[in-house]
Amino acid sequence: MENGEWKRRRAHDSNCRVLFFHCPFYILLLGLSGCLGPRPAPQWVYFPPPPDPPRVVHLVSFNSLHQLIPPQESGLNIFRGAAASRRVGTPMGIAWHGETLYICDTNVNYVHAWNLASGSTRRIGADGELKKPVAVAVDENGTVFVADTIRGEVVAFEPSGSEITRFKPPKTVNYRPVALAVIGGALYVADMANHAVDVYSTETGRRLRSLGGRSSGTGRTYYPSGISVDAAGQTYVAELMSARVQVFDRSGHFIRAFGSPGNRYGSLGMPKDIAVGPDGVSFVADAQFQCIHLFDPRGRVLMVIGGPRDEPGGTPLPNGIAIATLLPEKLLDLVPDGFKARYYVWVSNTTGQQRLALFAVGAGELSQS
Amino acid sequence: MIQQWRVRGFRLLQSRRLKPAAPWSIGSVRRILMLLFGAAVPLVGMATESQSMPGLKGSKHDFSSEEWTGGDACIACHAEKREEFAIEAPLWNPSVDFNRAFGDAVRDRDDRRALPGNGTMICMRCHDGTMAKDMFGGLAPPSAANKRHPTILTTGHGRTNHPVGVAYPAFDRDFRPISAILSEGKVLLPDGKIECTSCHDPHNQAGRRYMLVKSNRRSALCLTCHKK
Repeated sequence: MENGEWKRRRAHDSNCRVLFFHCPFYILLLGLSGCLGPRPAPQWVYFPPPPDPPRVVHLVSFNSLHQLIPPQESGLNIFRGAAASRRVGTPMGIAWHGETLYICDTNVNYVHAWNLASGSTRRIGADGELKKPVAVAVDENGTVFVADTIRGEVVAFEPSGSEITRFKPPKTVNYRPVALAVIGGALYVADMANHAVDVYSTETGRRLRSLGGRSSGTGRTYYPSGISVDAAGQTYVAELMSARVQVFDRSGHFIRAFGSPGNRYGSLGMPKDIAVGPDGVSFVADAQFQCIHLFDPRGRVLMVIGGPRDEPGGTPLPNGIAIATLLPEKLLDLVPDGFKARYYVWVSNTTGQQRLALFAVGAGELSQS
Repeated sequence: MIQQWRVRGFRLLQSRRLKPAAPWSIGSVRRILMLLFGAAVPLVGMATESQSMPGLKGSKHDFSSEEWTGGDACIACHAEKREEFAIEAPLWNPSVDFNRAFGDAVRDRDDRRALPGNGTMICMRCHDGTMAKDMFGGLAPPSAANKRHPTILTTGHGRTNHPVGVAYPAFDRDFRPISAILSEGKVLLPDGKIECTSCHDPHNQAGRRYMLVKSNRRSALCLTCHKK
């Protein structure tokens, strides 16, 4: 063996040894550098744009919990593999309860529960219970209801995370729950396979009634894709293919409808989800035009927020929408001075760099960031 | 250069669309037979031929028999072509030009290079696990491509994932040159990017399985772009 080659080999070996022994430190460094990213400076986007007075302001968009709450505050523990549960892949349905944001993730097939006050995270159904969670709802007691399209049923989890019961009509083979709403002991489930909205009792798990049916006629629900129940108990059902929203009263009778197929203001493309604010304004997430339509309680079009842009204020391919009446203290400083927020809207987008967006609804003046 | 690819891809798309079916193709022969023998022929045809009928009619994406389409086969996916209904000014945004259609906003958006193109977005509207099979794949593995395209989207095809909405790696030695792909004219690269419509033809013009743009026999479709 030549001297030169021997030297080269020895150098290579020592390099390998150094790399091998230093490897854990590099991984640690890499992990920390990823976590300790700077908190994004607020870039407020107002809707409607000037000269009209702003009604909605985009507060923040983020992909992982660390972008919102720095890891120093949330008590990061990288040895528990916490980083993976603090990042969303494909967020579908979302829900807000207390100070916790629930996000269905069909990439990892479980539900993230992020407490935005403390920064702690939980995973619901992460042990393989959930196959394709697409919608989530949380009742007053903290029970989490998750619609699973592959299991073909709605699964209820205790606040601690253990599965308690499941909701499915008896003798139904093909059941595809895609949207949920829960209020006052009643669970509303939109079933896309049978084009119906089923109402269950959360106490007994029995089906109380069913409304809709396979037709685009009035009072029928054709490909229902989103449900929301307002304070008065009225049920708003968004229909994917009929491109409209129908409103039903407590007993399931049709009251009114708004939205129509088309590409102008006041018409809808492909509504994926609906949420009704405390003031009766309904927010319809539209995957066709990639925006959120706002309608007043009478069904008149108010404006459009979001848009098909991968930037702050954009909603590329929105899928889920949820209303939050209160935000944790930590997030309130995101609201610009001079804007009086009445409530907040969470939107999940299935593409783009930042897949969760937070908007504040209220009134105020433009603030220069 | 990208502009050139775009124009070229568009021209190829146009030429494919306008190209009449060859008189000896299976579809044309069946059409002649159907004219001659009526309705019994499709049954015989289905029994003898493993491939489905070319064209949108009768494919899984043909919703023209459904009530909501009103017999129109296009508007299921191209809803921006629906006729307009009531036009009213939005109450909170009265100064907006409300005659402007939303469809234009999607088509003419300025950052169209950052997000996947329409050829992907239209598919992903339904293929998210609710209305149709979930085609969103796993998170993209960390690689050089992701740094260039942070909005990378992967689609799940069984056990494998394939990125969509990313620029074709034209200068990578593991991939064939873009000119070779475009001159073959089967695999499309709209805006120089790989989309769902690169490999799948939603209009099902060839009638292949999974609506592929060309047969994947002996991995021929994969090898159109990948060298190995």
